[in-house]
Amino acid sequence: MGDSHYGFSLTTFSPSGKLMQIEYALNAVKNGQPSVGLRAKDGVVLATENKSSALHEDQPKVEKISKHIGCVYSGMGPDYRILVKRARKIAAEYELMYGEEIPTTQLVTKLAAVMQEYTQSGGVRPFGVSLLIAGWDDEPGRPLLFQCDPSGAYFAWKATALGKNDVNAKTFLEKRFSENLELDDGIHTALLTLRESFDVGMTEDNVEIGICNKNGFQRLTKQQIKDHLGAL
Amino acid sequence: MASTLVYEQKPSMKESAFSFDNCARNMALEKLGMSGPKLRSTGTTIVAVTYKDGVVMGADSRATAGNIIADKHCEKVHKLTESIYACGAGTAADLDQVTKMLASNLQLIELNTERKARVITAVRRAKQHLFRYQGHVGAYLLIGGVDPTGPHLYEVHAHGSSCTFPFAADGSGSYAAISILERDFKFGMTQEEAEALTQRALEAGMHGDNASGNSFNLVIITKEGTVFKGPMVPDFCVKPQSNDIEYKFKPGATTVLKQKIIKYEVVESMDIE
Repeated sequence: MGDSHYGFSLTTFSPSGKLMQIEYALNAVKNGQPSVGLRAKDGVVLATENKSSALHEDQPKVEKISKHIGCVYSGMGPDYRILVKRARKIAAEYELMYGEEIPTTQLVTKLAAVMQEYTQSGGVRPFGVSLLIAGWDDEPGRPLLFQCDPSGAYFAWKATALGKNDVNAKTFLEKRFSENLELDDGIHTALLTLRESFDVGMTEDNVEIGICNKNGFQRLTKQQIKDHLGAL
Repeated sequence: MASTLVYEQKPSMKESAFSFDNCARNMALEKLGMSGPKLRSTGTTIVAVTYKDGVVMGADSRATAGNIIADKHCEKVHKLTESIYACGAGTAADLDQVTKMLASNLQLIELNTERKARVITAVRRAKQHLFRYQGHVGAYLLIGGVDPTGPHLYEVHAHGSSCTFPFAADGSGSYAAISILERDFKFGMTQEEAEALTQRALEAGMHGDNASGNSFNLVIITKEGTVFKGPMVPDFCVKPQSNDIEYKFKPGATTVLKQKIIKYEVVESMDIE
């Protein structure tokens, strides 16, 4: 019996030990718009393609979760928005309870636990997104980059890519990444990586960038993105 | 395969409505003659004044428990957002928690709507929370700030009512403070005039009310940003310097009336170093 015969149910293992629904969720991520995350010495860069036609109004993909944490995704947009709202609430509740901003690792583990819930319950399906979460921890002052998968697994990365063409993008990053990259170089490298997966020209209208450093998380403005693209 | 999702447990008001059992018990005990524990109150003077470009808000810093000053430098000007502040009078613990909750809610609203939160939003959230507890959460707030629709000032009471004013005062020292405000307030003041008026009103309250005093804090909120001033100590609140005098008397200043000498025999001695 092939694995696919067990694909109908989330809560049934296949003979090879996989949960096929989660594999299929990962496929939804693989077919999503490409996104890139890169951890520089003094900050983290998140970049993603945000293709929209001339008739579309801007809808941001890079979102801020708390003062020092932001995220981006590849996969299904609506699922992402639910997770962002959840993440914001988790961060706010932590702050209310402990009187300080939630450390990035804590947010990642709590959010991953939420995603895992949806792989072990009845009547639900896994989230069709993988998240890239960028954060800055004040003590010690250091940047962090994490990936959260539909299965609830999370990984810490120095640099990674999600979505279409992610294998080539990761190979590209492996060659280009160095521990000494500053944030501006990081943005440069992330844009080059993203460009590998672009079939049209990259402009400030179809690319989104977010950066996270000791001053917090912020999205770059269209003008700032244009300047960085000009320097490529 | 029906199973329920387990959401993260959090102390949520939705899980159970406020239980009034203890209130009934407390009232019965009081009828029997037992007095309840003294709530630490912020018997206070809080003042807020709107002017041409924004809002000036101020509060004293004395927290009392009955007749004792429990905290000389209590923080009564609470930040809700960068441009919305709340001054609180009432029960110290209730104020701390309510303002923290409001600040957290407003932060979430700002993140999710991608807009600066509005003063009226803070007021609505405060009202809806306080009304649910029927006045048992003793929080009397002056909520003021600047949002995209301009400068605003509201007064919210513990039972859940609110009103909007160009100037306001609350707390036990408000009677003194409001008289200054009623006499000297005018529309279209400059920032210096508004600051001076707030300071005079606060000093009136701190001077005349024994449950207010020690020092005061001011916050000036405008479209451009927020400036926090304090703690400032008015002259009549300055601790007096201690005056050390010499208490030495010349020998012979006191007359000797009687003299008795007792000789002791040393039986045993030991070192106690």
